[in-house]
Amino acid sequence: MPETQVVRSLSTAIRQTIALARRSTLELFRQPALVVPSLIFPLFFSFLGNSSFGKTTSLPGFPQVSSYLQFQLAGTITQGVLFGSVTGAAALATDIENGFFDRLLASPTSRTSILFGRLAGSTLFGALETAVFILVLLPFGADVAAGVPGIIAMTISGALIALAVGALMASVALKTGSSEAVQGTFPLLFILLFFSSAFFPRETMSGIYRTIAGLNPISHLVEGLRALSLEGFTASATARAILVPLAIAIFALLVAQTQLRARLRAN
Amino acid sequence: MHSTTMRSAGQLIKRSLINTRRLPSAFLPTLAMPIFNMVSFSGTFFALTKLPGFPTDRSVNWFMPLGLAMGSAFSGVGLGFSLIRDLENGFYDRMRMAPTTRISLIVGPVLATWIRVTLVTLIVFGAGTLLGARPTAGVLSYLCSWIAALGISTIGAGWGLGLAYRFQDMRGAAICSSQFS
Repeated sequence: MPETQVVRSLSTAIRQTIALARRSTLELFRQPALVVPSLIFPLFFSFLGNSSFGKTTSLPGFPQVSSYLQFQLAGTITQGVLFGSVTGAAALATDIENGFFDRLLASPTSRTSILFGRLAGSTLFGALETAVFILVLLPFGADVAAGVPGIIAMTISGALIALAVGALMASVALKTGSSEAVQGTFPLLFILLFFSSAFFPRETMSGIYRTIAGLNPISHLVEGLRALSLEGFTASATARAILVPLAIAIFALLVAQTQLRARLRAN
Repeated sequence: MHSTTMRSAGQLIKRSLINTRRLPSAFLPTLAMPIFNMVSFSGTFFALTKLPGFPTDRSVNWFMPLGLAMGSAFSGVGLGFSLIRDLENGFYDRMRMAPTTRISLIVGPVLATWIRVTLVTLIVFGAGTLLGARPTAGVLSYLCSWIAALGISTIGAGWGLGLAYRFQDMRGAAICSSQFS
């Protein structure tokens, strides 16, 4: 293909991705009932946790923190982003169910832009959720040792986590074509969250629980974010906060692309 | 209580239990979530037992009542969901036209909830005991916990039924779930 044609088709794909991203973002913000629970419940749990577990910060194995909220901030962000990402994937499944996906396929739309446009909405929402959680919890003692650069890095990390989880959930949506199936994965995310270090450090767990938490990818996502909160803006903390979700996001996007190709072949 | 009431209630209990057996997917979350919460909380928050003044050295002793309370509350609230389904599909109107006492329409389902809660309680106790729960008062602890579970499920059932009768559609169900969460 001549170079000008490649450039032209790339710019068309980008324009289409932006248009579909705009659609998926507006869809989320126009239906507050879909997004408010993923904002309210994590905040509720973090305040509840702070009042219930405030004294646990003096336990052996618990990292040095100014308050339990400082420790819990990363868990709150991960919880909110995880639950919010399911909504975007359920919307993709709804598009498949109601025929909008087929109409997009019938139009001269880049196939990749269908997937990336949808994920862009979830990613943006993940970044916004992260910023909201930090801003709401900061006045209550959820200090971020890394300061403003750390807050920016945490927001990027939150966006990458949303992209990673959104892509995995989008794979389920593309595979099953059912919003009910996507919603059905919610309990699995719930289980993974509670068997991780989102609410308590791995160092205070013992036996099989500690092993499970160690193998759980959500523990590593949370600990990356937590490093910025507790350790400061160091290269190691930033790398863990950004590179771990980025690696999972790349893997998840490859899985989602595979499922998209499978659905297109089936169509 | 009037013999007609108890006979009618008995049939409604039978119906409720048959429905539970035929639709296990509706009952399993009520069973699975308490056990999951008990297991995950006991492991994740194990270190709480090291706090000075913590009343037990076994985390499962602390979290087993949480699983029990959750299972009981959701079993009770589930009754409201069933009633909403019956209201929407007309079964409730047919019951009202039948020569049965009105009180049996409440007594029967609540007693069925108690039977389900007893099952949930036994399973949670079993799982808790396997995880190492050792209540300090032995059998009396289990008995009192079971009575408390019946009480919690009755409160949940009352709330669920009240919302179901008030809204008569799935709005009641949505309010039930969000408030009990």
